[in-house]
Amino acid sequence: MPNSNGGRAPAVNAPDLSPEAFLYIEKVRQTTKRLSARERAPDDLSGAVQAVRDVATFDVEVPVASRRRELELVKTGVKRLSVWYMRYLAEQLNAFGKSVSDLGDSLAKRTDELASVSDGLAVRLGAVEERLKRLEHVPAVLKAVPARTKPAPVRAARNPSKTSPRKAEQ
Amino acid sequence: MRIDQYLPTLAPHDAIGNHTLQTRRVLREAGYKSDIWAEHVHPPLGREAKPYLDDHHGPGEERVLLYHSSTNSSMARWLQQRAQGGEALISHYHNITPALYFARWEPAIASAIEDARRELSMLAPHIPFSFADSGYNAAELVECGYHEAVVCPLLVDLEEYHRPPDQATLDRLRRRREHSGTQWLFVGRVAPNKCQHDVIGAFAVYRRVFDPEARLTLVGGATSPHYLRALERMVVELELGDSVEILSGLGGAELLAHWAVTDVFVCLSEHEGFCVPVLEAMELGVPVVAYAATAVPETLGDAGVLLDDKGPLAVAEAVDNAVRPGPAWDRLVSAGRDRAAIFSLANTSKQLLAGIEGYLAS
Repeated sequence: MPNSNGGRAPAVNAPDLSPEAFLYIEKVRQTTKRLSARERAPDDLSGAVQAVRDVATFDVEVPVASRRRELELVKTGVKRLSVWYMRYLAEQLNAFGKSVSDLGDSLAKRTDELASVSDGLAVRLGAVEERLKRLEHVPAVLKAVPARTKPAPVRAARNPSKTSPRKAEQ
Repeated sequence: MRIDQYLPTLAPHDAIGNHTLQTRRVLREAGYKSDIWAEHVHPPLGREAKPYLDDHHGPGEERVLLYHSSTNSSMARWLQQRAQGGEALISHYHNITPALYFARWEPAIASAIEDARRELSMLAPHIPFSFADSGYNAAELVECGYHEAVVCPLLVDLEEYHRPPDQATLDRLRRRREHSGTQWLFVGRVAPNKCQHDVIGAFAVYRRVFDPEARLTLVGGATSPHYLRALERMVVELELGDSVEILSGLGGAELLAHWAVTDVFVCLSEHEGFCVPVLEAMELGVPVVAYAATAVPETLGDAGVLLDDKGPLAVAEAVDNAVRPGPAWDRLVSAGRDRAAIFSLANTSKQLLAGIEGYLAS
């Protein structure tokens, strides 16, 4: 419980919450996390796309508040006179910003897929290399085996009923 | 003896601007001649400062140049040249927000912050003595290569917070209050380091878990318009309707009306060099719940609830405890007022003067 007497508060015991409340809290956590400051690695493509999205909204609702009434009136007048023009520009810029961030999303998704395929290929290549090494070791193993332990040559079965499946098919 | 002050911008309703004006008062009352020189002066304060490029005092006159460092300015190089020319240069460091906070929202501001950091380092060899608003700021200065930094909090006239609030605003807020629950407040510029998004998140959880009628007011001009837009989108996304309001351009009396109806001041800022609004809250008897980051624990002391975890549920529960009437609430309010008294104008003025005289004696 937090310390209402002042000072540092110890860890919190969560109150009894409904599953809906838990879901909502998780949504809040995700939202606040998205807006938190973070160091971005140079190769963090998703972070770069998010950065584009953060600044890709152009607002035409210019603030007009001022402590001086006459200045506020002037600002309001200028805004009303120019808003049609600003809105026209902002719509195009917003569309452009959205397209750029969508393009970034697609590139990030495609890069992730390629990275995943590349990781899979690396695993398979490793397995093949391992197998190749094992095969390269086989002749040495065979040399080391004494001659008398060599398996006897395979002879054809005398019993005609014990034919191979291939022959049986014929 | 003359002690002149230099700052990039002198603006009304600004902590550093007010501090500079108060510093001039203290210096003049102590018998020093003192003027303010600035790069930008906002019109209401036009008579209080002069453009620094008009300062043609020669190195022959006995004087000290006191630079208020908080942002980038062409003034820094000019002061460096003055110091190289033999004039005595000292500074008061009010902190520079790390560029990381602005990089994704306002790249131009991030770049200006990096310039400010470079200027801070550039001036270090020329400044033998500095003031810092807090121990946190002082440590940062020493790390940056400064010889000595003496802690002297911002000079804030706390009596100004006891003037009558704007009556029309107060009446309107009181009427609204009759139909709503706990009133949260945060005062500070809309900037990513202030983390208003965390306040909105914690408030959303508080409404869902503890008080569905609660309201949040965020007061402050937008340093980052993009961050402000993101906050507005967040309010919609979390279905908070009109329970959250983000206000800017309030006059002092209107702000006092908001303080008068506030139940709790919630500060989840990650970077503060001092945090004047915490001081205001304590002076006005409003309980403070704050994230323990940078200089905030130093300003708040034991007079509020400090959190090491600013997860939304942790903050919501801390607020729920802080606003419950009872002996604990009384102690919180009383401790806040006692703490604010430590930062009274009389005390901080004495600290400032002692620092100046100590420097001159050395």
